Amino acid sequence: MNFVKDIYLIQPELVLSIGVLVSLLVDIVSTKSTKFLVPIFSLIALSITAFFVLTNFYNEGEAFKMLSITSLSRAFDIAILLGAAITTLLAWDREGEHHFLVLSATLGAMVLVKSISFISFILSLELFSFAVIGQIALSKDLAGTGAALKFFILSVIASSFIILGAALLYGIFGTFYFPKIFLETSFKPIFQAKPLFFIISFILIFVGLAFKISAVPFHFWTPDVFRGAHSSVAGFIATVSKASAFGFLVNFLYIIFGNVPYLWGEILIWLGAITMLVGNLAALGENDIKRMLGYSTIAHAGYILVAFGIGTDTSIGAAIFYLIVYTLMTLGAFAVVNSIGENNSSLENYKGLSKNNGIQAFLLLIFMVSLAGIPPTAGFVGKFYLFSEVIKSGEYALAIWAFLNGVISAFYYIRPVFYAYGREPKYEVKSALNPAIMLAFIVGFVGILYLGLAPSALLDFISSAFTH
Amino acid sequence: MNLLDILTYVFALTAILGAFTVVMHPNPLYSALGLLLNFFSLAVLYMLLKSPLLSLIQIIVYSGGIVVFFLFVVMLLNLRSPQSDRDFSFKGIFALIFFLLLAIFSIFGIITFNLQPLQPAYMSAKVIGKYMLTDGLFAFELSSFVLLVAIIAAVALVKKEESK
Amino acid sequence: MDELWKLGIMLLIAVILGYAGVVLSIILGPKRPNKEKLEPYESGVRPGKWPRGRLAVKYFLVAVIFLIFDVEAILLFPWALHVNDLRIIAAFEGGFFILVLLVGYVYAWAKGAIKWL
Repeated sequence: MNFVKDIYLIQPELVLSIGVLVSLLVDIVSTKSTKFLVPIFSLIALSITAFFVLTNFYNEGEAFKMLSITSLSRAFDIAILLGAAITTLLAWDREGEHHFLVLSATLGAMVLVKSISFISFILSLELFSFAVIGQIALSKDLAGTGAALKFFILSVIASSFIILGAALLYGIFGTFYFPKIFLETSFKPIFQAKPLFFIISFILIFVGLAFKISAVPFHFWTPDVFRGAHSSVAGFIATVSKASAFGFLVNFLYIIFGNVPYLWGEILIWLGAITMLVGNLAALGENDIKRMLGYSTIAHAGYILVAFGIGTDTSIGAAIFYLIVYTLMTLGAFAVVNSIGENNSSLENYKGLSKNNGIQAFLLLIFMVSLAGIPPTAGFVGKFYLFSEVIKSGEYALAIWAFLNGVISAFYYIRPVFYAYGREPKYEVKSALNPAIMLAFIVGFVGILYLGLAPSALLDFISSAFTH
Repeated sequence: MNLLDILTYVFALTAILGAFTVVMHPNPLYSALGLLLNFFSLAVLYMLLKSPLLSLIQIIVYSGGIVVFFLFVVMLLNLRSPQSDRDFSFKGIFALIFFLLLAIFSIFGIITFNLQPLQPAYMSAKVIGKYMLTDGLFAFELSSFVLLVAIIAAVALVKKEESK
Repeated sequence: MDELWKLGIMLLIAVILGYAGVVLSIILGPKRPNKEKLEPYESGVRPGKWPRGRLAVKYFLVAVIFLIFDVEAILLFPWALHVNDLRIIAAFEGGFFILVLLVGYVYAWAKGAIKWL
């Protein structure tokens, strides 16, 4: 009954949970003219949480028999908090509830990456999903409601798969606690006795997670939801949702199925290879930039899945680096979309952008070049480290495959830039440039160039999570 | 066969009867009432399986809350004329296949796992409460945040409707 | 366990009593139906329209809030059984839980979700 050590370990989560409550109180007391207080408070709460994450980066341990706090999970926290902060900037003038929901979804995501028990896993997954559904539905139009309904039904189905898989594992092992399952699989021949149910539960839970990552057979929702949702919410799903699902995948694969790596290593690599191809090919034909970014997130999920499939410490480190870079550049691209206008997401509106909206056109160039992985941007460095990990593991065919995919992706990333600079304006586009979006632009721009030119600081920091 | 066994079979039968009403009745209002019968029978079955807290949850949350909610949804959809969808289409076949798969899966699972009934000592409200305050404390507190998000999202969405 | 049959007898009596009222009134009661009597009883007011009209969305809000606090009450029930043996610790643990939902309640109140008109 001594929770002092546990509470000490989860300081950042505790701070964020208090921030969630206070943000709601700020929303209650703020009037129409002081509406900006809520996002400001939200940013403050996120930065205090980030401060606690950084100061507790090397505090490792297990809390409440449900969370495993490691430096690795804290590294995922950084990606999550970064994504949440930039999406708060993008959603600056939305309702106060939106910012509350962003904070609670962030709390859910932070708990999710540390879960080593199915109870906390499913609860935090639900917390995250409900908050994201609320964010989508807060859009006041038909498209937003439709996207919310689509996302709701599919995420409920994904959750039910996960719950069924968890129930099966409970039936086999009589526990929800991952390390205990790991022990059972290493000492007892129970896995040999009931391999069918073990594998079925793996498939069920993995299907649920693949939905969150939008890996290939379960990716169809992504472009539709992105098109209907507000660009900040789409960016939130693209970055925070992925970061949390990948973070949990580490716990899930290395603890429960740690004794059967042959089961998942190959599956992840194949899934990643197919995912990147499908995402890239589907994005080629898109004429709507939000849908195109949706397919682009599918392709990027493929790259990260491959790194997870290789499964060495350095490849996971490269995946986390890529995840942070991906967060910056995807949210930067969504910031451009947000500034051009939610309903102007058709590529027709991007023709001749450089004439009237020079800043947006230039930033579009930077973010698209980074997404395509062309130097000197961070996207190139991230892809470079990822692919060199693939080569190091001896999978040469996979490296060539991934490289070819990068080449395909360049076509659709360069198209909006080409439209912006090389074509005459077709429509009059009124863009909005408030200080919040400017800040998001600056964060994305500086982050991408800094990580592109001097990536070693962040890389060393991430690798210290493994070696400290 | 003692009294408890007979009761178990009677309420298992009413549970199935309720479930059939949900699926087969042309009037959605009666379907919702069939769901009520199903939930109540399940509550009795939980009680017979010596799990009083689960039975209580079944009655208070499911029979008291969820069914009312279903009735509201039926009202909102405003189904004036009973909708009948009796063609034996793809949906029905799919549902049948899924049901058969699930049934085979469950039966096979029960045989392989050699399931034993849980000891009553594990399922009393006191034991669950003890778990919630010690090992399961984190989940207990986290669930309050899930409920909070549900309240806020519901209020925010409806508020939007009214301000239009 | 062995006391369960007492509960069964209580249930049985409840069911019999419930049905007895209906069945006995069908058997014993005089039946002289006319149009007025056959109409649904609406507290003395004549029913004006088809009963299954569309409901306003605020009913849903009430239902959702009821459901959520219903679940909260159920989750607090096992906690309440332990307040006496754990005392201050239980007070903190349950207090945080209630505090979180209290903030939600204050929000619903402040935004006028509970106000009817």
